[in-house]
Amino acid sequence: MATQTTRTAADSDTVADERASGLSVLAIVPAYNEAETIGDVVSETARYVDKVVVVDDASTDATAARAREVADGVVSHPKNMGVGGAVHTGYLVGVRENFDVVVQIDGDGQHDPADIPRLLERIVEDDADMVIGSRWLNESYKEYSLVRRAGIRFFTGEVNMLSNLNITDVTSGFRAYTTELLADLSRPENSHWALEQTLEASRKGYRIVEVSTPMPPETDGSQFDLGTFLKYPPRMIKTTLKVLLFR
Amino acid sequence: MFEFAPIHGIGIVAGLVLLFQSYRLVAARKEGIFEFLLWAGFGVGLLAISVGSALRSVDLLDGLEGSLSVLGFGRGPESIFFVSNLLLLFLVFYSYSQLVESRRKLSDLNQELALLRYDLDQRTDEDE
Repeated sequence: MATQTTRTAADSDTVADERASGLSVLAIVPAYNEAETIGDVVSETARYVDKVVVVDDASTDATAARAREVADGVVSHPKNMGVGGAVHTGYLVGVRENFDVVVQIDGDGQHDPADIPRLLERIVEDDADMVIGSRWLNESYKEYSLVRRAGIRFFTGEVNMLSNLNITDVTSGFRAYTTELLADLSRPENSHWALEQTLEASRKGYRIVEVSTPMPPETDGSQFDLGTFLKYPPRMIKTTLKVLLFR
Repeated sequence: MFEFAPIHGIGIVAGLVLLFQSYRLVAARKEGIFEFLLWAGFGVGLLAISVGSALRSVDLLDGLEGSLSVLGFGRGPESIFFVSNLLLLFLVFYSYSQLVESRRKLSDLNQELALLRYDLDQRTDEDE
């Protein structure tokens, strides 16, 4: 059970209507320089969960200030840690505050909060520990560049090969987890956190499923520039070895 | 008996500095046994080489060459080059592991600071 429910009485009815899972749900929104979109993402997400906490990863714009106006809580990193560090901070909030489920959604508006109930459904109905929103179970992956698609395919194939999974989109950041699973996961690397986390959870025997979630590419351009692309092989090998040897 | 050159003085001073560094670790009760051994070992080694090479009666290189030949090394300079490379590799590895550990601690601290501030904000909100 959650220790805190921060909605007002008027909002509670809406939450109860929208959220039929019966679980106490925390949404974490990792954000870095998302001042323009964070307000809408938080407001919309709040309809489907008990509490929304933004993890501001030392943004240099007004993300933290904007988030404080709309979110139930804001965790501000003094120093930028990267996505892996930001999501892990959010998980700590969920575990420490004894929520049943943590939903992770990007602050740039790429994920549609209206899909949250379907993620939660799978946790309840399929007894899943981790639910991944996949852009490969619908047509939205076709909007991505060829390089990006190839990268996602490759990492997903790697995870499927090294585990007993059969998923389609391991790099998706739209996820729901039970806090039981989160408490058992190590802090991921900043690069390839999704790959590392999924592989570790699978090797520890947790149940991972996917749901179709349309996901248009980010509006501020792909992260897959040439420099990032060249760094991928050594990082990927390091992450994979780490999980295989130590987790 | 003594053939004292400036380099001997520099070696002795550097050796003493390294020994002092190891003493400081003990005095501050920092439990870095690895660091202590590193500083103390280099300090003693540097002092021995500096004082030994200043003594005319002691042929340090000859002695070193003799002891290394037991291990199968060839001429003295080659042996010294090999050992120096090993030491450098060791130092690089040690520095890298320290860097990784420092980054991990920095991340922990960063996270804890953020969460403490968050807890404080939450309590303040509840009080209000």
